[in-house]
Amino acid sequence: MSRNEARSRSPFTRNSFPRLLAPWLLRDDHDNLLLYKCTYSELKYRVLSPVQAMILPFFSGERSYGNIRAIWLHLTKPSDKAASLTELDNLVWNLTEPDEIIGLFDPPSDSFKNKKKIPLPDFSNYRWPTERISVPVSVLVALTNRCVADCRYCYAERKLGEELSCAEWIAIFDELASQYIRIVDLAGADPFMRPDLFDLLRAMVDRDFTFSVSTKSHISPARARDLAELGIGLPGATDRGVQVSIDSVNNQLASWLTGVNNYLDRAKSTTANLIAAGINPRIKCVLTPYNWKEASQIVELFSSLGVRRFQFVQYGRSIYRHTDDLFLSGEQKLRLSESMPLLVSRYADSEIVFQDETGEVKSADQLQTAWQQRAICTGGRAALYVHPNGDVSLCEQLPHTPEHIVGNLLRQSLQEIWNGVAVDSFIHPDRSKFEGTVCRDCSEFDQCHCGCGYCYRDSLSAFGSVYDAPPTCPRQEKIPLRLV
Amino acid sequence: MSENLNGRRNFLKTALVSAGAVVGSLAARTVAHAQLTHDPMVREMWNRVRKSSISSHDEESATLCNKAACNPGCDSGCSGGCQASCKPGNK
Repeated sequence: MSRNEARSRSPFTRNSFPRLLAPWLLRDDHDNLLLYKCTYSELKYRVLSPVQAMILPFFSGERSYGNIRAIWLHLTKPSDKAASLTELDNLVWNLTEPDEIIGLFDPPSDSFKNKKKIPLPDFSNYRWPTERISVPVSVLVALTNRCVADCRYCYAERKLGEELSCAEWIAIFDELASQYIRIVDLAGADPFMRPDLFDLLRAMVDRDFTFSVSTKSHISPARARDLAELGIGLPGATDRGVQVSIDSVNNQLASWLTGVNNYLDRAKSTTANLIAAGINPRIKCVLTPYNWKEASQIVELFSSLGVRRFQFVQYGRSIYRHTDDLFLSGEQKLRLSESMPLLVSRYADSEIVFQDETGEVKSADQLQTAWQQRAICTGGRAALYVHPNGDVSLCEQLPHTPEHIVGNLLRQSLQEIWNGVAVDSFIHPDRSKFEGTVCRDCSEFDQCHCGCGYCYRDSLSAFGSVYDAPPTCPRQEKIPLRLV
Repeated sequence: MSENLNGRRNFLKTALVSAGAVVGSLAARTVAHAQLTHDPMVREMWNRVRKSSISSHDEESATLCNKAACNPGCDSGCSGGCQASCKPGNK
């Protein structure tokens, strides 16, 4: 059935009870109603249109679609009821695909847990559409830049310096929670380098934050049980995960890539301890010319330990420690593109995510289309990054230098930073900053910066400045450094 | 005579049934409407809607929000997207 055919009828029968599904949440931002996916693995959000905001709070799963249709007619008072109901059907179709936001069978959204506090829109000052949301959806926190490893492929700057105390972090967590921010994910280096990590994790769990703990440290059985007791990384959970890095089934190569002696054996022990504690870790692997043939062996070995989630990414240029020998060749990329789907089908009971990037040269039309459909840069529009000392920037990959800092959470409130001049001038820069680039006199300058924005990290990596068009911009004339 | 009587009886019966159906339908609608207006959440939303411009129902706004307000997410496996919140790197 084609999409158009499907849409000629109602998305649900009148007797069915459609619901907003987990992990989607509604948030009352005072000047609009926000819908977002509360998970650490991806960031998706929508500022709801007024009519979406009007009807979506009724999709609690306790009202039949027939009842919701009656509510719709009651609230909209249309002159043509049939046309209006078709409009409702279309609106609901838009929330059933491509993202399954409304459905019938999966667990319901937590937004309806407290019947007295279902987020409702305030239409007296409703702002829609809007480029920026009133409060970030997601805040990345780097508890430390210290790491047990020194990976050859690491993208992080890892500038060592002062770190906030446990009490200071908890004060920041309180502030984020008071703003109804639920996605507070861990970034930076290895959080297990902090002796107070479990106090911090407990504070994050107590505030109902969604996050993932990524580590290369060895996790003992006791530490694994502590994680499990906090409900981190349990099977099926989308709100809190654990990630372990594995790059090779060859102990010598794994140690060479990570700079940690006996790395493979340590990682296997960590994984076994996590599994024994009831945790379902995700295995992350960075593919380089040194290990690109090992994907199936990694899946085989760690599947035998009980792992069911894998992610393979291709090496991408690090701003801080790059060497060209880490780039996959075109041939290797193509071979991976062919072999990885076979691996995915062979392990159908596992989740295997693969970054399928073949480096194929795009035509001018393809470049233009890809540019128009590019993902929004959420830095400053929906997300922030907090450095170990409380400094705030827009992206974890920008250098920790004054020109990239937009505030500090020890000295300023989140709202002061979010609505401050520094964030505004970063995401809406003056043309004069782009002297000598194609952006300087570009006719789409305002449209570009007020809409999706662009990838600061890519501009910086490819051309040495965030104030330049990224390589994916069709108007960019300079030859970029290779990024992936 | 008896045929006429039967005819009248049948006519009256049908008329009564039809009238009953109409009354029943009206009553059901009235009950449904009363249920709606007594639903606290519907009432709350109605109070919010009627004070705003959307009570006239802006058809445009029923469509998906525009791109500036709709983040497609990091769907490229973190290859080239720039999202402060995705885990883009090689750690």
